[in-house]
Amino acid sequence: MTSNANPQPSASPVAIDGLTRRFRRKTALDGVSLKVPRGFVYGLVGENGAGKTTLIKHLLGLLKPQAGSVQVFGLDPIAAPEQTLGRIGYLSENRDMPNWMRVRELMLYTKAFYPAWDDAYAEHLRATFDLDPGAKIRTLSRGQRAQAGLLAALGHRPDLLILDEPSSGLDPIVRRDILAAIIRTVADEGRTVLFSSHLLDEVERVADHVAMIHTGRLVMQGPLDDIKQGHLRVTLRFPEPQRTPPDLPGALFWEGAGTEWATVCNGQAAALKEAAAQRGAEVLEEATPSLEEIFIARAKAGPARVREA
Amino acid sequence: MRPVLTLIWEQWRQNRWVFLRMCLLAGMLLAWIWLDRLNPLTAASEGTYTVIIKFFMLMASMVFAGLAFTWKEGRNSLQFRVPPRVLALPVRTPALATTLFFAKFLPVAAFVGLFALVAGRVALDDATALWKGIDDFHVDIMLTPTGVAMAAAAFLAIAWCPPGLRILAILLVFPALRWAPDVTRSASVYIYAVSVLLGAYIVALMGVCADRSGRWAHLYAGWAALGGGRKRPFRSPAHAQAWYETKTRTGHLPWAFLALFILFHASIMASWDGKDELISWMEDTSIMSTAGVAAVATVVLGLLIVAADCRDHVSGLSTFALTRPLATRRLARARLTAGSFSLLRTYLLALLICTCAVGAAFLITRDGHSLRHFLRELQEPPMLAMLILFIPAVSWSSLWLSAPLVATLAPPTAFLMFRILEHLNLAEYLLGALVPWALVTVLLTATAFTLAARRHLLTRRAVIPLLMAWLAGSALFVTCFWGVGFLNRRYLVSEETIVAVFTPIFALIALLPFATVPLSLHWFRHR
Repeated sequence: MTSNANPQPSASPVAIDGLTRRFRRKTALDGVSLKVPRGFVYGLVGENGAGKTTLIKHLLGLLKPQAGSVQVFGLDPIAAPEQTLGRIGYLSENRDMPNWMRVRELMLYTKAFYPAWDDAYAEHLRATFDLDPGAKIRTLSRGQRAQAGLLAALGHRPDLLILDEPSSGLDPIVRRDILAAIIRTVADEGRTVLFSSHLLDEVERVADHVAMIHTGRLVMQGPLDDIKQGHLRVTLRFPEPQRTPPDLPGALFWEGAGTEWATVCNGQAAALKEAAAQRGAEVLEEATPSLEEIFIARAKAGPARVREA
Repeated sequence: MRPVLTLIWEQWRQNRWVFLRMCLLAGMLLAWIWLDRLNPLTAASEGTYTVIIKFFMLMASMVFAGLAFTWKEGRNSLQFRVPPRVLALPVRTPALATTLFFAKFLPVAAFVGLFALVAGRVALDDATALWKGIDDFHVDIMLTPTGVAMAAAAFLAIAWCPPGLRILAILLVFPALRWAPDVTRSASVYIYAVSVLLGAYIVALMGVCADRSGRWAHLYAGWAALGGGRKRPFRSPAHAQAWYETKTRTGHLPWAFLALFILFHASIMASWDGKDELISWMEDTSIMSTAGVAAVATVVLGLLIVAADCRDHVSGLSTFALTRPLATRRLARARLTAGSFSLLRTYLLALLICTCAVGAAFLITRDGHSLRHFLRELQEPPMLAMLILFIPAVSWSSLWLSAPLVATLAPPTAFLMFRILEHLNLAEYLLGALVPWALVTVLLTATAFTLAARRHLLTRRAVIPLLMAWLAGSALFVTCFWGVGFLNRRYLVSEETIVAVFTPIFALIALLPFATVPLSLHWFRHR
């Protein structure tokens, strides 16, 4: 693990290589490697307990890798917490903030740590979120707490914004109009956003790159468009009713019953269609799957499951 | 019936860890006493053990009651707001209040009962006559039920009422003081305890009614809006972090305790009928009302923080604090700075309370009899040991990881100091108890310092000023405290003994956090 204390401006915001973490007998992360490119919005998706928060905690230096390495801006976040955390804005999943603090105090307190704190921008955000500066954190609603956390994370215009389930507790309007706009603004300014979510439609709307984690393993990563183009949803009609999911090459996950079956395939569409044709099946529909469909297919790939119609 | 049972189960789940830890602490103390009794050369009298147990039980029950009666979220502010999910249970308000009250009180009573049962066997000679022993024990430890009831009532009064009405609630809880029947001492105390419990129950009922009806919700909102908080920017990140640590770890609890005990003391003074019976009356409630006020206040405060840390499991190390862009040694420095100021503040608080108590007694009796009595009380060995040893322990307990360490070391240390002061023949104690204990402490301290230094968590610039601040504070306190003894021309032990015995122990306890805090922060920041 590198322990160079000098910041490397040109280094990738996040570079993880073979990261493994176990909590007693449970493997939370298993050989995860990923690289977050600068200036993009990177979505980390996975079901609850997949290991998203554990991965984020490694980026913040709150967990020590048991195997592999983690670098943030080319630095080891454990060896150089001051340098790495100084360039990160972080919103935790449980909106962990001191209940006794007032919104104004939170702004003043956070400002003290970041020389680049932008008063005007912070005040603009506070007004946008309609947060009372004299209100204590404990009196805020869940959504307002998330907004206060966002305010503290964004006020110093961080090079890397890490948001752990940012949508949790936010109403749909704030989620769609404000959060998405903020994330896009940050990325448009050349800064990087890494956010985790299990709301795949939201990730699909905002992210440029996506990484999927399933039971601690990275099952897929890359630019969102490439991922979507690399998958195909195909609906087939077989001449005879199928009792079990058909065994065709490239199919990740089957849904259906009887003669009609739908599958998401991982880029081997031609091979799948050829194999289907050999079994007398006709293609009813071909479409680009949504991120959610891809995620479900990837997560459930392996032992195919059938959902009774 | 099911919602009620659910509620009782939930309350037990909330308090079980504190209960078990309290039992563990009590077990350690009793084990210490039992071991001490095995040695005929050093064994103390029954009275000595009983006094130690009395102090422990009083403090532990108050701490436990404080924790039991405040909801988890309201540790620092001592808030008790019944959560909406509890208020929404299909149970009538009186039934809800009664269930909550007794579900919270029963673990405290169970702890006290269990401890009394075991302590009666361990500390009394007539171990076979269990019930007689327990009865003697109860008669001797008259303050136990009072302490529990007091704790329950006091915390309820503070926690269950809207802020603007808390003073009224406290006054409602204490009317029994004015009509305490002049019968036998034990009966008087028991009746008093029951009266206070009744008062506390009324407050609990009022609190639940208020929360359910939402009638006083505006008072909470108005109170929260008062003050407006800090408006000036911070000078530096270190300044901001020290402010955060101070506010997070200690908050306004010391002042709440100060106000509570001054009020209590004032109520005792107000209940005095003008005859010269004040002293005997005060002897009945001596620890609460006279010289013990400071000690109890500080010990309860510290143990409350320690026990709350144990309950919360987060130990003050939230993700919010750990993700500050500061090196670990600077985070540790901020925490130590806050702890140093907390120590000084606690010393000053203790001095202030003692001064107030002495001054008030002098003003009332005029003849100086009460003043002399207070001075004598101040110099009683247990009080002395508690004041000197517990105050730094309490202050440092606001520093994480030092807390369990200090809490673990404090009871045997207090016991040891008590014994040393009681028997002026120090040689065997120095050899048998002090030296091994001091060696263990030295070893722990040295190991912690070495580890912290190896990890570059300690800097001379950070440690030396804090050490100086602590030493200055300690010197100030010791000077003031012993000054009282010199003025009174009554010396408990020689000056050489004080220097030889107190200084190393006193210094060693205080040194530990300087090494353990950076280490613990480092460990928990990068797990």
